[in-house]
Amino acid sequence: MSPARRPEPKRRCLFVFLLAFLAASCASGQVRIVAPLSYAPLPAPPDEPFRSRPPALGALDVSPMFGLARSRLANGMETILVERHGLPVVAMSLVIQRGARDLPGTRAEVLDLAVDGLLQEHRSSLDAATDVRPTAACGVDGCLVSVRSLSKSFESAMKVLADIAVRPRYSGGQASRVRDEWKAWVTGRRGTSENVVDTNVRALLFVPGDAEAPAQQSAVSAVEALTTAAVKDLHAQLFQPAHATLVVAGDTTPDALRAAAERAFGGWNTARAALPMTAATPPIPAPSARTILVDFPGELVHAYVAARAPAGNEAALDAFILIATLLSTPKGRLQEEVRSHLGAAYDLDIDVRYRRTGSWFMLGGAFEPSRTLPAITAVLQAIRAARDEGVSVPDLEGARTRTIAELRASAGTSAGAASMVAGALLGGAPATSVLTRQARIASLTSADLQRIAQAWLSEQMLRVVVVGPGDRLDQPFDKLGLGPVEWRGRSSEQVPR
Amino acid sequence: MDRRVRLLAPLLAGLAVSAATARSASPQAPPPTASPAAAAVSGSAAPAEPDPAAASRAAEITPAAEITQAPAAPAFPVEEYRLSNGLRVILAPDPTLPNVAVSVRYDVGSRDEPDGLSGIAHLVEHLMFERSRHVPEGALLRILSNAGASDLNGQTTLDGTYYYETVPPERLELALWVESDRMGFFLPALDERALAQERTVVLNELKTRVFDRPGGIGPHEVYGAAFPAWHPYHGTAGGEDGDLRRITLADVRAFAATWYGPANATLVLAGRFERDGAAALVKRYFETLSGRVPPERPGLPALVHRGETRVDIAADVGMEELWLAWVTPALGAPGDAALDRVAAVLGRGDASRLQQRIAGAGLAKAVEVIQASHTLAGLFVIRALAEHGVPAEDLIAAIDREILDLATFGPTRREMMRVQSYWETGDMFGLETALGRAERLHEAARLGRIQAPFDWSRQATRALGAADVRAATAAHLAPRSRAAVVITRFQVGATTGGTVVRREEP
Repeated sequence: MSPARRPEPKRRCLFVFLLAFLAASCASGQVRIVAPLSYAPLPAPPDEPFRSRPPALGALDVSPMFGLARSRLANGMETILVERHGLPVVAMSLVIQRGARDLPGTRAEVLDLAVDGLLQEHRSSLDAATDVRPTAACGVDGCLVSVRSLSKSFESAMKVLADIAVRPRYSGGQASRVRDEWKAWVTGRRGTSENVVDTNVRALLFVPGDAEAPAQQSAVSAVEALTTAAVKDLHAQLFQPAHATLVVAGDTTPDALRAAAERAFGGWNTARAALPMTAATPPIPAPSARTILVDFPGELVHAYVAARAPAGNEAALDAFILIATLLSTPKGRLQEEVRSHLGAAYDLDIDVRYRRTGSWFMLGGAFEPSRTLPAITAVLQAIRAARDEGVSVPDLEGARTRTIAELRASAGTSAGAASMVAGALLGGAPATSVLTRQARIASLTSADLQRIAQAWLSEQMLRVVVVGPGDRLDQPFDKLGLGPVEWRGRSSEQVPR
Repeated sequence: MDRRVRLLAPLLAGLAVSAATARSASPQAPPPTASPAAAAVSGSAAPAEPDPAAASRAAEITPAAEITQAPAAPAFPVEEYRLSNGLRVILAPDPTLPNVAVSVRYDVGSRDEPDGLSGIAHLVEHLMFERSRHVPEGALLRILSNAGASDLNGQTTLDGTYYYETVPPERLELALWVESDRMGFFLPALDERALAQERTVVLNELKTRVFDRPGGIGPHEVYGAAFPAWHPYHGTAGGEDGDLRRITLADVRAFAATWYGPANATLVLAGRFERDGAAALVKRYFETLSGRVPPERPGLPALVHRGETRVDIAADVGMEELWLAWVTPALGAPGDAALDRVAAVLGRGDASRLQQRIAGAGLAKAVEVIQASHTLAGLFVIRALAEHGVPAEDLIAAIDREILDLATFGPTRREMMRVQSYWETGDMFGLETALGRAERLHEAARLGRIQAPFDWSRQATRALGAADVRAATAAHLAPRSRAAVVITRFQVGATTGGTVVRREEP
């Protein structure tokens, strides 16, 4: 725009102020009232020598980020404390180390909704403890109920956890509510590109009937038959002291925690036997095609490469995390290729789902339709390079530093510290594993990463899901090197094409 | 644990940004009496029909002073000074944090975009990530990221542009090297190729965040409907596709040279660093940078209420959406803080009125309420995702009833306690991270409260009573002065994506 086209804002404003009745006509005008720009050149500042290169970097501290104080109540429930007193806040999580995979035939989403329903039932107590903010979720590996509060409300917050674990209240409509919400959730999953991708990725990575596979019609029937008694039974099976660990981080002491936990959870007992924890790795299906196309409306095409990944308690997971970090580095080679050189997407998105037995990941994004094939080719090439050529030392160093720094940043908040410990427990790893994770990551080599990439990212393990308007998917996706292409529906059902 | 349909994503663009700046405080105007208040909100002079239940709630109103004891304000040292080139520096060291946030705010946003150059502020923000004289093309993010930076990003809002990163304390100097090069040496490295490349990225971002996302068009339409075309807040920070394609290198250079100098910037360091060493590094890297003194912004005519503005849009959205918006007092102006509390009473948390009586009653899948506080004016926004089959008019009528009730009888004591507690908890958890502190310091600096940055919000909140909340509702949320945007599902064009296919404006 040339300077001559700029508005003359002050004159316009004065006019409007003086003649109020014309304000409306001014308001209907199209010229924005802003300060003028200066198009005159600006001299550069002095260019001192110290600016020519980045300053030297020292090594990062990889010592443990905090300590753990562990204790066990008389009923067998363990408590773990990360003690810190910088701010008067506390975060706590009740970790239930059993989930849908430990209850054959149970949908993770049903558990999730059942626990979410408990929160709704306890709305009145939440209202009283006004600064307590709870969340609750269940999945394939377990359940996590978390609250954070000011330390003055420590006991109120813990009572919320105890109410959900020990004193579940299910009203008459609870089962029907869970049932309706689950069905709405299944329907909702069909409503956005992201969920259609997610559903189809799961279908390619897990066999039908697995807790993580997309819902089948039989599962819908089972959910339709759900009763209040069945919801109660699900809760009773999962929420047992023997499965539970209370993780607290923040402004309290071991003595205060123990006393509060005894008051809240001490009377919690059950006659049920503890559920065995499933350790078997869910089988990986051999689909008829490893590249799936789904016709779905939208401006962009959502395309992802997906594969299974090491379990949460395997040593290989640390190396896999570094590979994922490397592939998703902002302005890393892959990001640059897709975002800037191809101009295919605003961003690349990596999503790693850590699981006790069957972790998985997907890497991709929302692409300009005409550039989807080159973009997803670039993603596959990056994965293949990590697997076949290995990772360079500078790239490894960058990924290590980034991962360690992110761990330190997470550990800096009470919720982050509690979440790290809870995550380790849900993944089937000991709580103390979080203390040594930085050092473990710092010791990984390029050879370690390549070995893990070869084990988990072989050609046979890779899957591709492409979701977008059908007329824009007329591209030779069979050239990706993963064999023939198959069209599927939004719920991954077979569809003719 | 698993990805699942969570009903509401954060509000986009201007609204999302405003959420971070939605805390403010100022002396409140004396509340009007209940009767005019009710009349103002009901949109008519006729007295409102009293609701017995509401009357009983009104009896619970309690002065703010009786509300529970506040936690002590955290005491962190904060120091503010200016370098000789005008750069405002704020240092807030705290050795208990694991890292340090480096955050630069330039006092320029989409409100400063001249006609025909919408989106240029966002485009410049992107370009300033690309290269500067000493940072090679595309290396800025990689250098910082591989050095352990997290929370590494930039953000363009209506009023300001932010660049920030959180780094391990051992990497503070690197972050200052990068930010000083960005501030002082961006223009010499700018060329046509970088502009073309980043223009594509920005257009892709616009598609991803606005047109390919259910509800993505909402903020754009709401700001467009609430503010007249001459107002700097008309539209959102993303810009228009056509304008973005027309912006020239000369435009970018002029916009950057006009607004992005040290005299128009604030540098905040918050977290783990040693004060003297950090101050010396700031001086070394920033003091010799030069730039233009920003121009004085023109005054604006008063906003004249044009009656209720209604925009109907049909789009391929998953759920029907209703947006109601009122132009309200600016950040820190009388009424702004009270409207924050109004938003909380109405929509924050499961126990809030709209969550209980709109979402809980099966009229909406979700409701979100925010007082978005900006420099020139605020925007009070209610967004509701309608339950299937619920007409927008029913939803509007139900929301109107709740607003009228609040304007007539005010909040209950229990509601004031809940809101107060909610605010204090949010404040305190926000201070747990270095970046959270940096954000708070920027906000305090904008409001001229840098001497007590970590407790002003709490003090101001406590000074507000139920009468203030009632008065603010009555004064600012009348139906006749609002903009309503109704996004309905476009059935026929189900294969056309998120394109707006019909727009009607009275």
